[in-house]
Amino acid sequence: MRQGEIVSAALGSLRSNPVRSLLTAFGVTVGVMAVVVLVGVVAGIGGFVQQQFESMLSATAFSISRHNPGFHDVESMTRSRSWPSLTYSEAEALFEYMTTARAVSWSANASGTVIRHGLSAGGVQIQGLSPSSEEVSGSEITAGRFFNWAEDEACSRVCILGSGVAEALLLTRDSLGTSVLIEGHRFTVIGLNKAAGSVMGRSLDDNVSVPFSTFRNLFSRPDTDVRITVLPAEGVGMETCREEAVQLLRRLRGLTSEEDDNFYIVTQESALSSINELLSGVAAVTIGIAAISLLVGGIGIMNITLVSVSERTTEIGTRRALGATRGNVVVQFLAEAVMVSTIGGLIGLLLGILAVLGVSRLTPLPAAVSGWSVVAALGFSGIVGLLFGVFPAWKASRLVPMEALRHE
Amino acid sequence: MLPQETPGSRPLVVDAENLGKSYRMGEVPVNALAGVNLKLFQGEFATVMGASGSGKSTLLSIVGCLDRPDSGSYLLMGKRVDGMDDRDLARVRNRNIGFIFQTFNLLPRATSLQNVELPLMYGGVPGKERRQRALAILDRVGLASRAHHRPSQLSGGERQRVAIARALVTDPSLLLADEPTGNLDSVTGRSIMDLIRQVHNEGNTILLVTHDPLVAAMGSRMIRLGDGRVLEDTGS
Repeated sequence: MRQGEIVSAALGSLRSNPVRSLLTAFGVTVGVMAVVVLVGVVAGIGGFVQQQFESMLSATAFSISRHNPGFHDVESMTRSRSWPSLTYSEAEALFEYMTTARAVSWSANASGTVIRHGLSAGGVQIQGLSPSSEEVSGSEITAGRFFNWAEDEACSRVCILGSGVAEALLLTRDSLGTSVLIEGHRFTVIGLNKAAGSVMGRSLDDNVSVPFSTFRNLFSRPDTDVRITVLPAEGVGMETCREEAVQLLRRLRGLTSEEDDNFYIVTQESALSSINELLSGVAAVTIGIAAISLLVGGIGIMNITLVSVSERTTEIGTRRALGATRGNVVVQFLAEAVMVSTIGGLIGLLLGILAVLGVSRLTPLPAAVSGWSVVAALGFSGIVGLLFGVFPAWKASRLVPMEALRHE
Repeated sequence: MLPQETPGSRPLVVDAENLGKSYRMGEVPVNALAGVNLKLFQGEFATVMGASGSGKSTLLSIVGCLDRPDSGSYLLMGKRVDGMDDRDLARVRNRNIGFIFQTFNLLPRATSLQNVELPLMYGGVPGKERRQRALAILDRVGLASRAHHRPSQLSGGERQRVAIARALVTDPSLLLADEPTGNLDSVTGRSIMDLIRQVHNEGNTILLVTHDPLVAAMGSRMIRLGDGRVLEDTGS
């Protein structure tokens, strides 16, 4: 028999019982759909987070922080709680003494409400930024300007609004110079930030930036953490610059050579690698779920193929009498199992693609169908049919022809 | 080795000697065949009678190469088949033997034409030739107009005609019929027997198993089996 004949014979026998064939394929459909959707969503989140990280911290800079952005290491998170906060004076010392840095900036955050003419924006992130932050941070100013050193030294009440806050207060680029109340203090708006989007449903635009010294006077609390970001000078490697910052900070903190660092150095690379670690954990769970549903689907296929073999015992006997070899019989039933499984896989793939498109339309997650998940899903559904079809097909081929012919 | 010649110069189609076969029915071994000798010459129409359990079906399945004997030798068209493996037996069944069953055994989802094409498909005959040969043989059994009907759209007699066409399409050396009229009314049964006789008159060798003495009487030779032995053989 030719391959085309085998395929059309298998399709013909599936068509004779379409409802049963579809129900049998359903398990594989669900498995393939789960893979396509979860892989699509996870890859979407990964790409999005990476993009956000790249916009927040340039690839060449590193920051110094009491917190580790990795989510995985519970032990180090517990340990870091006993560490001293980074302080403004440490930041200033790095700024003053570092020779390999092009820029050293520092920042701190608080939360509060911004009010203008009876309009208010709550839960806004108030950021105190050193004037040097302009060079280091990824955010861009679309209107107005950043604050300068003079304003920082004078603790001037000037601010730059994130686009979310500006929108809430109905401020446009024409509103520069207008004044707003931040936690009851009057500030003059001197700039507007470019919209940055959101990470996992949290907006990056609901913030207001003020000079660091102003922040320290008005909003800082004793436990406020300072985050320091360092941009290496041109021609200086990240390693060299980092080493200088580490040694300087250890000296400032009086750490002996036996003591470990009590601060974290975070680079874009290290932040991304811990996120990727998290995402690959999610991917592993996904693969586990897919494997279970494909297993269940496969058992369904085996079950129905066994039923089909016993229903068609006389047919098998007849075919054998007419000259079918055991191999012909194996191929016939295997082709049917693979076909059911592959059709289930195709349906799952279609539903999965639709679901991924739905997710990317209806949620902020930029989910996308990845090529390898399509190939893997279809490949695996074929393999499932093959694996779980082998036993029924083998059973069919071992029937004694004469007994099969006399089967009622 | 050429088929053995007889005094009448007709080749020997079936040459089985001392065939033995036993089964286990649970704990009890059953001697289905206990030393059966059978020689069938080309063009012979032999009928086999016997009570159930006499060994008829076992003989049919061994002569039809669906099973192998435990002992004895079996030459089909001068070729030893008793020791062949499964694959070779399948090829022999495909090329040398045509089966006609009591319950017709047509594939329910296939048309008459597709059913008749089936043995040619297993024989590796290309599609176009297959179709031509199948149509020609359907015409010969008077069913050219029913080529594209499924078995459910045919009468019992028509189904058996399709089955006979399927048995003949490979031009086999031996036709084996197992109660071919057992599921038909007497009128239809007679027309099927007429067709089988016509097939015999065209020179085919036929071995037919039946319960019905009237049917058995239509053959040129009758063999009676009992307890796995030949009790009577009008041909030898």
